[in-house]
Amino acid sequence: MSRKKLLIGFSTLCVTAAMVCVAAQKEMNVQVKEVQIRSSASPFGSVVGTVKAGNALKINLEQDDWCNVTTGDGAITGWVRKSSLTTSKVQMSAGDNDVAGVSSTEMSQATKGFTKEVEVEYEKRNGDLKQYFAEIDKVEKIKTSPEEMLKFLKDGGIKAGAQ
Amino acid sequence: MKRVAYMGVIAFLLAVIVGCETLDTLSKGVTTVGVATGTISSQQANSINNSASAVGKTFDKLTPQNEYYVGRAVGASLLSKYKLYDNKTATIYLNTLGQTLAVFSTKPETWGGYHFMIMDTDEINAFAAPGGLILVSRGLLRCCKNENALAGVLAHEIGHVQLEHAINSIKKSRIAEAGKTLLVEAGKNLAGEQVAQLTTVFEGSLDDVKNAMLNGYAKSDELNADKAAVAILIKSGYGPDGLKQMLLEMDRRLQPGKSGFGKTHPDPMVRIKEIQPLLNNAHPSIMSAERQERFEKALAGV
Repeated sequence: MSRKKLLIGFSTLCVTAAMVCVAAQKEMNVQVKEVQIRSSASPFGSVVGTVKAGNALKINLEQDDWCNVTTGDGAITGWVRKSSLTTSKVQMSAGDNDVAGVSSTEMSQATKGFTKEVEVEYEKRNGDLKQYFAEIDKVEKIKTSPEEMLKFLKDGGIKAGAQ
Repeated sequence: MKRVAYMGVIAFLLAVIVGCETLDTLSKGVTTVGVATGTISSQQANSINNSASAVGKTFDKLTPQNEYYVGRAVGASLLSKYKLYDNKTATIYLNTLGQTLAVFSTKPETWGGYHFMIMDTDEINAFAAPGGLILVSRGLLRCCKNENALAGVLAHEIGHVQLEHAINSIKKSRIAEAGKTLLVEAGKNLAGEQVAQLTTVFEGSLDDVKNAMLNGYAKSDELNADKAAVAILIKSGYGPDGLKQMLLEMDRRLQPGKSGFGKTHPDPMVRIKEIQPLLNNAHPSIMSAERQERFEKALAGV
């Protein structure tokens, strides 16, 4: 095969691969620890599913700061906020065992940066901070559900979006 | 060997066209096809993929997960200085209000979510750590006469998180340094020495954030956080009057240049002047007896 033919052939393959790439951009990855998929494009829409960090979601539609998405297995379709998604790969660190739904293989393909293992090392160097990390752990357990938020607003005589 | 070189050139040119973000995916697509057609060996394909992956992973911004760990460490450091005011009722109320407001920001979801703590100090101050950990002083809570004013305070801090003011104070060189570890090949864990190096970079990053917080952000950052707060307050239904009330109260109480907000924030009257045009178009806030009652009950001991 001549070099010219090889180049033409390979260029065609490159264009095909690029088209595959463009098609792949219709998927985005969850970049927060856990995202709730909602039945409507509203922070108080009922939750139809939950997806962990690193999972890819197919983007069906973009509307303001919301995306209509379908999970990789096609089981769940609904709405998530755009800010919880990224086009970049989201890889988990080995120390983040609390992130469920990520296989051990994915865990080993760790993104490094500032992660749990760095916090552990930092805490070792600054032992006096241990109690304050514990206080932060405690407050992180306080989570207000969409239903509680709606009740809070209603009880206070506040109509969201009324302004 | 020449074939590999040609393919490398073509992949590089395409990468320049479509950008580094897709280089990794593109490279894998090209090499997969190349291997399937017998043009290159799988070993050569791996070599090309590894190079493209390294180029594609230029690290110029911390991930939400990285921000979360910076925020936790900054929070721990601030708590060592100011100490926690451990009042369960007030803390739950603050988190219910703050987390409700946060869903109306343009960054409603962070890695670990928004969380609010009370610092045991009379100083009038608040800090928004990266990732959504927000600390408010008892002194500042006492300045709030009602829930709308408190909502104004929290919305301003959420505005700082949304606009990433704290995380942007980290020197670019440190972020690049942290990113070097991203080039560790898949399947390999960081060695102890690498974790130690990374932790040193982490400590430097924390210093950057704490310096910015304790010495004050740029005046433009504060004014932009106010504008973000107005948007959150309008969307949530609280209305922006509470923020103005709070600024008027601060104008009465703060001593410029002393400590806390007086040292780190622009003159409250300048801030009011900046947000006034946004307030003119908003409906006035209406207070309800129920809202005032729960506010006073929750913060009774503060």
